[in-house]
Amino acid sequence: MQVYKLSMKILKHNKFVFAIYLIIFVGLSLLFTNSASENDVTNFTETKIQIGVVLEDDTALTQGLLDYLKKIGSVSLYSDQNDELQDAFFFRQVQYVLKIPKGFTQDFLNKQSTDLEKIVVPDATNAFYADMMIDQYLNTARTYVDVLAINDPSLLAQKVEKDLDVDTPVSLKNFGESGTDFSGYLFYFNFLGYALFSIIILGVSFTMIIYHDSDLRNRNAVSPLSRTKAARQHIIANASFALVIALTFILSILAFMSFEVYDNLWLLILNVLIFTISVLAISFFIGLMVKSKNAIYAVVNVVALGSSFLSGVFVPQQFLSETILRVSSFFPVYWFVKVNHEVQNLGSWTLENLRSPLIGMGIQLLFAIMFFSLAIVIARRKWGQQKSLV
Amino acid sequence: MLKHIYKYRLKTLLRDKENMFWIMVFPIILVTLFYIVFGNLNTDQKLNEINIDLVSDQMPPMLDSGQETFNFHLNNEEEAIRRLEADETNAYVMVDDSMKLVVKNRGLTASVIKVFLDRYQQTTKTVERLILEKPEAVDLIVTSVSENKTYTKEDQLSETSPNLAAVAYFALVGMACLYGGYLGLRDAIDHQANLSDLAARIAVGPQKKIQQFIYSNLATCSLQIVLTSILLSYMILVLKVDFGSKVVLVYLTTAIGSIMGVFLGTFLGSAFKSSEGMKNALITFISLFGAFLAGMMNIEMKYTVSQNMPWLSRINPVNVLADSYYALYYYTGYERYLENIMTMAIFIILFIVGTYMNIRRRSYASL
Repeated sequence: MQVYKLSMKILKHNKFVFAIYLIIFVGLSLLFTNSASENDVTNFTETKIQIGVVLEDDTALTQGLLDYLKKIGSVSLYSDQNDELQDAFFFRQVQYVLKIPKGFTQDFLNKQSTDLEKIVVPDATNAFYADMMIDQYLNTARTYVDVLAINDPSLLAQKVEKDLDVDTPVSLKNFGESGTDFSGYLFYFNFLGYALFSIIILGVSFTMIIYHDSDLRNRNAVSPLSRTKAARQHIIANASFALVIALTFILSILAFMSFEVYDNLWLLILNVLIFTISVLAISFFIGLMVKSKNAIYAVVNVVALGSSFLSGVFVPQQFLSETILRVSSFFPVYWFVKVNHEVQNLGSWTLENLRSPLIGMGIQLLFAIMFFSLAIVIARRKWGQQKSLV
Repeated sequence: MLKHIYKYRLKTLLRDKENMFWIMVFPIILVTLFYIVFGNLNTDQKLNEINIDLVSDQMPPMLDSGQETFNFHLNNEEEAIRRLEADETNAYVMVDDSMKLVVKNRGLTASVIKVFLDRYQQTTKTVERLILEKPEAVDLIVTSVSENKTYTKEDQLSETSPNLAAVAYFALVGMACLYGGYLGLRDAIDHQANLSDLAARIAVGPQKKIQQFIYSNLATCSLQIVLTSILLSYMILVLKVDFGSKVVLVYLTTAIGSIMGVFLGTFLGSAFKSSEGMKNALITFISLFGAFLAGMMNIEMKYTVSQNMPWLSRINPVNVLADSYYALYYYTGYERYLENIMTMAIFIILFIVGTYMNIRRRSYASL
C-alpha cells in the first residue's frame, strides 16, 4: 500500500487548496440556489411584469388605468426619465416604461387622439401583454365616451372598472410531471458539473505530477512492487479522493440547503456519482499531459470552465443554440446536466420515463471508459519498455 | 539607460509564460466562451401563433375578429385534452355561460391567453350594459367596440438598445485590466532588495533605484495597455461586441484601467512583506471578486450591489471600470463617465503615492 499512502500524503499536503475551492463552490451555490425561488405547479398565477410609470397627468382615469395594470404586475412611479429609471430599465427591473403626458385625460375626453409613450425592450413579449391591458382599458373608456358622452373622469373610471372586473378561471392540467417544482435544486446540482470537475482535476494532477519525475520513476522501477500494482494503488487512491470530494458536496447539500428529500433526489445523487467516475477518468488523461503545477490551474480553468460554459452549467441548456449543444455533447458535463434536468421533475419511475436519463448516465460511463483506456495507452507509450537507463 | 531597462523589462515580462497566460490568453478564452453563450442566447420568448381549442358547439361571436395572434378551433373535450398533452395546442377553453381556461403550464403564453379571454368577456359585458342603458344606440356601440385602437407608441430611453450581456463583457474587460496587477507585482518584487535576489543585485548597482523602478513601470504599463487593447480589439473587431459609438474613449478608458491595475500590483507588492503567492492570491481575489460584483458571472449582481451597497460599487475598481464602459455605452451625457474616470484617477494617485512611500529610501546593511 505504499503508493496508496504516498498519493494520500500528496493530497493531504494540498488540503488548503481543496478547502478553499470547496468553500468557494459551496458558498457560491448557496448564494445562487437561495435566490432561486420555489413555487408549486398546482395553482395558476399570472406572469408578472414590472411597469415603470412616469405620471404627468394624475386623474381618476389614469389612476384607474394604473390600478388595472396592477393586475398583471407591479407598477412603480418615477418622477421623470432619469438615471434611476434608465438603470432599472437596463437591468430589466422595469420591463415596460409608460409615460402618461400632461393633459392626456382632457384630450381623451375630448376625443382627440393622444398617444401614451412606451419604452420596451426590443422583441419582448412582455410588452405585448402590457399593451393588451392598456388598450383594453382605454378602448372600454372610449366606448363609454363615444356612446354616453361622459366627460367626468371619475365617473368614467367607475364605469370602466365595473366592466373590467372579470377574471377567467384558469386551471393547470397535469400530465405526469411531479407535483412540486424542485427546479431550485437544479442550479446546485448543475454547478457541481464545474465544481467537481475542477477539484478532481486538481487533485489527480497533483499526484500525477510527482510521478512524472523521472528519477523517482526509475527508482520505483527497481522496487519489487510491479508497475501494474503501483498503478492500481494510485488509481484507487485518486478514486477514493474523488469519492470523498463528491460525498462532501452531496452532504453539504443535505446539511446546508434545507432541501426537502424527495425520491428524485436519489437519482440526482446517483448521477453525481456517475459523473464523478467520468471526471476521474478525464483527470487521469489530463494529468498525463500537464507538466507543472502552475499549468494545472490554467488547464482547470480552460477545460472545466470551458466545457461547463458550453454544456449549460451556468446558462440553462434550453437557452443555448443547437450548434453549441451539438459541440458540447462531446463533453460528459453536457450529459450530466441533461440528466439532472430530466430527473429532477420525473413523475414516476417507470421504465419509459427513466429511459432517457439512463442513456445519459450510460454515455457518461462510456466517456469514463474511453478516457481511461486512452490514459492507459498513453502512459504505456510514454513510460513503457525502458530497457536500460544509461 | 531608459532604453536599456525598458527593453529588458519587456523581455522579462514577455517570457513569464504563466503571467502571460493569465493576463493575455485567459481573458480571450473567457470572452470567447461568453460570446458563444451570449451570442446565441434567446431568452426573449417569442410569441408565435397561439393555438386554442374551444370546447363548445359554436364559435362565440366576434372572438376571432381583429387579431392575428390567436387561432381558435372548435373541438370536443377529449380531443382538446389529447391535443394539449401532445403540445399541438397551447390551451383549451371550456365555454358555457362563462369561460374556463385550461393550460399545461404557467408562463407568459398562458397569461396572455388569460388576458385575451378576460378582454373578450369584459367587452361583452360593456356591450350588454350599454345596450341596457341606451338601447337606441346599438349601431354606435357596435362600431365603437369593434374599432380597436392602439394607444401606445414606442419611444426610446437611449440610443443603444439595452443589451444585458454587455454588462458581463464590461466586467470582463475590467477584470483583465486589473490583471495588470500581476505585472505590477513582479515589478515591485524585482525591485525590493528584501524580496528577491534580483532586486538585491540591482540595489548594489550605481543606478538610482527609484529611477530604475520608474523605467520598469513604464515598460510594464505600456505592455499591459497593449495586452488589454488586443483583448478589446479582439472583442470589437472579431466578436463584434457592441461598446457603443465612442470607441476612442473606450480605448482610453481601458488604458487608464490598465495603469490602475499595474499600480495596484506595485502597491500591494510593496505594502507589506509576505510571500509572493499570497500577494498573487490577493490580486486574483480583488479582480475576480470585483468582477463578480460588477456582474461578470451574474448580470443582475451589478444592479443589486449598486442598489443595496452603493459605496461598494464605488470603491470596487472593476466596477468603476465596467461602469465607465456602461456610461459610455448607454448614457448620452458624460457626467457619469467622468465621475468614474475621476475615481480611477484617485485610485491611481493613491497607489502611486503608496508605492513610493513604501519603497523610497530603503537601504539594507545586510540581507
